[in-house]
Amino acid sequence: MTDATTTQSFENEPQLGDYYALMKPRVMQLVVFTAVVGMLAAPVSVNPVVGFASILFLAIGAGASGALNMWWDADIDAVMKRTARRPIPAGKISAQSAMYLGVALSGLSVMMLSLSANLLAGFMLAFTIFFYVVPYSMWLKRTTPQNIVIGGAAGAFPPVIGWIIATGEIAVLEPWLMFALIFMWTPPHFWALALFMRNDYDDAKVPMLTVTHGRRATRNHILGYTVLLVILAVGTSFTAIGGWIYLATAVVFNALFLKGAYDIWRRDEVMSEADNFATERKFFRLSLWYLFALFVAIFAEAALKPFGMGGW
Amino acid sequence: MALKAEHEIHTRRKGLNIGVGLMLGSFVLLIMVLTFTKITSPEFQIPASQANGVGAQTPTGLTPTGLTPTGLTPTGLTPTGQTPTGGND
Repeated sequence: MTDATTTQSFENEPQLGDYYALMKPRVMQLVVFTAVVGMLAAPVSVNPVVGFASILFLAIGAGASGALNMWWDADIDAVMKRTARRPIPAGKISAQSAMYLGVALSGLSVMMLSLSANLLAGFMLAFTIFFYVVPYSMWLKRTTPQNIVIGGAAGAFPPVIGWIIATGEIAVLEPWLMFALIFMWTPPHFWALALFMRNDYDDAKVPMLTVTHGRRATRNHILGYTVLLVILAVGTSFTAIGGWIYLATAVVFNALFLKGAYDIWRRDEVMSEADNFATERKFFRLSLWYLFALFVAIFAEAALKPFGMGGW
Repeated sequence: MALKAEHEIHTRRKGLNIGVGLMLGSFVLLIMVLTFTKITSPEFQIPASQANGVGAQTPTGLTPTGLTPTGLTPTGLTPTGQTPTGGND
């Protein structure tokens, strides 16, 4: 072994931050946030220690599914500019290590969530990890433009799991309304990203809607899904998790979101290229604030109920 | 040449090793706190399948069921609570 190769191999020695990046921290943040809201919106109070531990194990499960996703998608991550610097394509962590870590943390998180909360929560976490890794990553992502629509369910389960942590129940409407909000929000969010990432998905041969049906169809779909989302999100105001605060938030943010989708719909590629997809980028950023605002409003309604202010 | 020379690989792995150590320590601490919280909760109940023998002792002179030769002291004739088959066996 030469000095040069020795130095190179040391430089590629994985650091703790690389393993953290392997677990998709931004997805984990979304999972933790929506699950906490799901747990706190439930009509049953949770012991803070049990709640903290359960959400932590849920986050570890989400990170495990992220590691398994990166293991499976290492080949397409290496091709796409957005993902080329992830730990596996960057040569920091081997795909095999990522797979071992993902499997180990999946088992640990499911077992610990079952013990800290209840068996149903553990089962739902196991199902979510399975759904994200097998149907979405291994099957849908590379075969159908509906990948992000159906696969979006995996990201929508956390508030349901949060609710189950608190109540142990699944057969009620409220957690599934939160599920539906994220499920319907996911396609316009990712299609906007696909519009301004332009050739990334083409290069990786991932059949995103932009690749299979073109950008015009993607703009139409963004508007269509946004209209459905607006109806759902505003309609949720009049359920048990809604109230005046949620209604006001939903009206404001859905108006902004609908306008953003309309702006995307009436543009064409020439206009978008001219300003480097400014409207699409703005809509993508707004989508993050949109989901955050709606879930903060759900949390606010639940937090104020003991003081006789939240809800209707 | 020193036997414990600090190699570059040790320096590079130090952060990872310390991080993993801290996480494992935190995990152990969390399990301890979680266990304490659960068993001191008012809702905590010992599962019925394990509760029968809790606190009971095998009285001196009586033979535990597991060690009894077949036919000498059938389980059905053993005084209740004196030959637990549960936790204290």
